[in-house]
Amino acid sequence: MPENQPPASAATDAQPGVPIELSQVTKIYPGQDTPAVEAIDMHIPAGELVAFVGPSGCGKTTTMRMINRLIRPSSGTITIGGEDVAGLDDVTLRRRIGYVIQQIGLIPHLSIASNVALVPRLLKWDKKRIDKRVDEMLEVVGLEPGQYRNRYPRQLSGGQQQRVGVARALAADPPIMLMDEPFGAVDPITRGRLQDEFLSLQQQLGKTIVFVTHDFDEALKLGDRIAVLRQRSVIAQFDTPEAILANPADDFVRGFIGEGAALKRLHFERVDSLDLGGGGEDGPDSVDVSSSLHAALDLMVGKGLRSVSVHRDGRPAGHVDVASILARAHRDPDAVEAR
Amino acid sequence: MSLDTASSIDSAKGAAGAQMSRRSTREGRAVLTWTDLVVPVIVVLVGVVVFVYVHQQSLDTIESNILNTETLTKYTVQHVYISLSIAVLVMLIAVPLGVLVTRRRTRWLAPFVLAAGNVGQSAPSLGLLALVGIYAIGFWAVVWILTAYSALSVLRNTIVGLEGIDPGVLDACRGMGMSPLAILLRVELPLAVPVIGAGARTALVLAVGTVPLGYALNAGGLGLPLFSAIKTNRPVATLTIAVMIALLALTMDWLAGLLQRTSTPRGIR
Repeated sequence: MPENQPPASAATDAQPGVPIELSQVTKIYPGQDTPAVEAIDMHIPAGELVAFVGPSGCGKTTTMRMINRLIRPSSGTITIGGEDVAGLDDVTLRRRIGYVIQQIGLIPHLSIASNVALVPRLLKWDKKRIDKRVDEMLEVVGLEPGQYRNRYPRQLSGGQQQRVGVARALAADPPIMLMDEPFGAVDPITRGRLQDEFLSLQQQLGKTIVFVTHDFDEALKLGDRIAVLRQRSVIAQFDTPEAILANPADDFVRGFIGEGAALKRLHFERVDSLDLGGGGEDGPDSVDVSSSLHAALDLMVGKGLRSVSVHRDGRPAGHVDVASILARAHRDPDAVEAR
Repeated sequence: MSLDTASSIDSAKGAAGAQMSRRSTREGRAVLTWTDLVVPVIVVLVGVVVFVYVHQQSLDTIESNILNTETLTKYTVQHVYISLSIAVLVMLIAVPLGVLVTRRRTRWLAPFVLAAGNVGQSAPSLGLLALVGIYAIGFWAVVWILTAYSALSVLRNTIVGLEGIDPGVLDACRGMGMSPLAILLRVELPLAVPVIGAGARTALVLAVGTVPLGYALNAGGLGLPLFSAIKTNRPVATLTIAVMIALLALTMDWLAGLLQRTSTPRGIR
């Protein structure tokens, strides 16, 4: 995960994600009149991270848990890579799906290595392959195998434990991962770091991931797509983060985006999407062309500047100023959707 | 699925691993500490004091018959044997029952099983022995009655131990595709060992203390010499045997405690 390491083979040889399809999936708990999840239809493309966001009790976790059949749907079908999950044995199905939860759930009396080795062992890999894989996975999540292999879960911090949780979920190289608020229980600084590292890991792995969170900013940061869910897991909007920010479907979605939607949108626009004016003299403060407009604006606000120079490959490539960023932020939202 | 697969990686430690394992024992609780010696020291001291005291008394024929080393050794061995049989039976019955009433599908049985356990324990043990003594006597009669009497502590602790496991751990195990049986054998029971073990110690001590009541059913044990000493009004013999039973209970509890601790998985010690 850390940038200073060469990409581990575990990451580059990874089995790519497969699509997940939910159709008319409903869950009614016995003795309740209203369904917890009502007729949800959703196509989750292969290799994408789809974030489920919604208020507590909206059914987002229930929806996720129906994918690995920890909860059985009352009706409707779920297919993974075209295969109906109802036709598979629960245990077989779950061994092909990574599972990461907020409570982490490392097995306290097993060493870190044994925890990571859990699914490969269930799949009866040979011991050599398991040992190699455990070390590989610990390295992928930034834990030095020699140092952590034989520790026990309670000897690790919360953040380290969740790194092990991610390593354990990825150990058998499943094409799909289900993650239920995986970074919800760690402190904000650790959370930010775990998110960054996870994002770069996912860019190498290309797993299909269902990521449940109630934190919209986390969804914006990690999601290729976001499904905003209201009660009974009804989809309020299912789209890319940019499109949701630019064009919230209704007040419910707007409420979820919260304050500063316009500023948040600037995260998704690169500096070189503006006219840089070309050439020009170099100022003391600069941003790279690949930076977001948000970063550029942040720099200007912080330094009290009206414009900063833009570098491409370390050489000046023009300027970006406050006025043009404001113009971009204020433009017709339909233009974003058309993009 | 064998139980030892869970620890096969632990056994494959390199040099770094050996270093780590030392550290984790230090961070965790050591299996034996000096405080563990308190009980055996007290037992030996009290035993020596009683032994010396008895030898300074001039004993009459009845007393020396009762306090004959050979017969007392025989009764002590019997006593330990009966108590251990009860403890083993209690474990064989109460642990599976505790597992049964914590499974989702058979949870509804819990009130009935607990009620049965409560009846077993709250019925006066002497009365129970007298009642059964009408129909059956001997070793097994006593063992079964006292098993019913002391099963509740293990049953309760099994339930408490299993229900006290972090639900997140169980959810993760299920979500990763462990079968319910594998979760029970490799996760739930190992994690519940400390609590179940505490219940087993209670049951064992209860058994050691109540086996003497079974003297009338002719099952053997230290109850026989104890009651003959009481009946013949020989206070020195009575005291000696009573102290022996107490020391036996302490010793058994101490040994069971050691066993409980060594069978607790290292990661949660």
